Amino acid sequence: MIRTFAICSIMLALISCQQEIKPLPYIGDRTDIDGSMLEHDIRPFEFVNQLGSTIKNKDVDGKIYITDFFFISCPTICPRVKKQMLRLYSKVKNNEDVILLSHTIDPKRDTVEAMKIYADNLGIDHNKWWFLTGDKDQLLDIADDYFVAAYEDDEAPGGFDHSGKIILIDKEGRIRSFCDGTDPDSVDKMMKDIDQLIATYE
Amino acid sequence: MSNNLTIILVFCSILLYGIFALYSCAQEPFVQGKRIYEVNCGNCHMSDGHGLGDMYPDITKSDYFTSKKTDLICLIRHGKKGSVMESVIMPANKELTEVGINNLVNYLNYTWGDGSISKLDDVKTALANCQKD
Repeated sequence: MIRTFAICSIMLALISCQQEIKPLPYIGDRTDIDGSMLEHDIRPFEFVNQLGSTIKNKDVDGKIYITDFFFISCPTICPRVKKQMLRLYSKVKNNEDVILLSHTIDPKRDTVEAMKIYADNLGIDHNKWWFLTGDKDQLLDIADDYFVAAYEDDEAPGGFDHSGKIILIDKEGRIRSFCDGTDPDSVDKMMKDIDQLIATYE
Repeated sequence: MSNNLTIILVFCSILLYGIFALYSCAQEPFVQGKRIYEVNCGNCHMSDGHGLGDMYPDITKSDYFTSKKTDLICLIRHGKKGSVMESVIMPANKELTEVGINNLVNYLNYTWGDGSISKLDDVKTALANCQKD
């Protein structure tokens, strides 16, 4: 009797443990290329960060990264999302495998110089958190790959409409999680997902 | 025996009244002002008033809630040029009514200032005397 109970307890414990380490899902449609199914990934890009360095896909290869879309003069949700990005920055700033990317959708006003001033005023490490600017069409198009709505709209406050999503990308460039950057509770969940993703590479 | 019962009843009543009084105090005042703050100010200054780095000012210890109260009303109505970047301004709030501004000012004073109460006439007078840029 005692033995049965003990075995049951151990099995229950094992089941609950297994649930905890269930891997993060891959987000997006798979594509069939010559019979092998490839996960949704991010198209080739070429942007410039706040230090004036060119940033391409290869610069984020082998890094977990956390990304969002914003513009500096945004009078609505952007600062709230940035506050949450700052929380995530504080969490990962000592982990060399994780970086942050913030894309502007208003490159006309958000030049390299403007992005540098903005980043300076957030007090962040310029090599850990890149503020990307560049070709407007390329910036708006790549938002699609991250499943972020971002487009020009003269009626929207500040001239652009966009969602406040924060997206988590793994070392192979695949989307593994996202959260609502305006909601601290949603970001709390993202923090757990980041830990989980980091753990899969250990 | 009935004396004891009376004492217990009185004691319970006092206790209940105390709990009720505490509960009433715990209700947050200036609910309308808070709502106006969240919609018009909270995106940049944040719900906790701490702003964002050096981009958006922390207002929790602002002298606009103590020595510069009249300026506060004009600042809310007319906004301010950015001190860090030209493209980042404090926008004007032309759509707020005088009553709305009064509610907002009371919420701000209560939350981060000296708790003084602003009256509608104070807002009207201040707005009539704002210095235009």
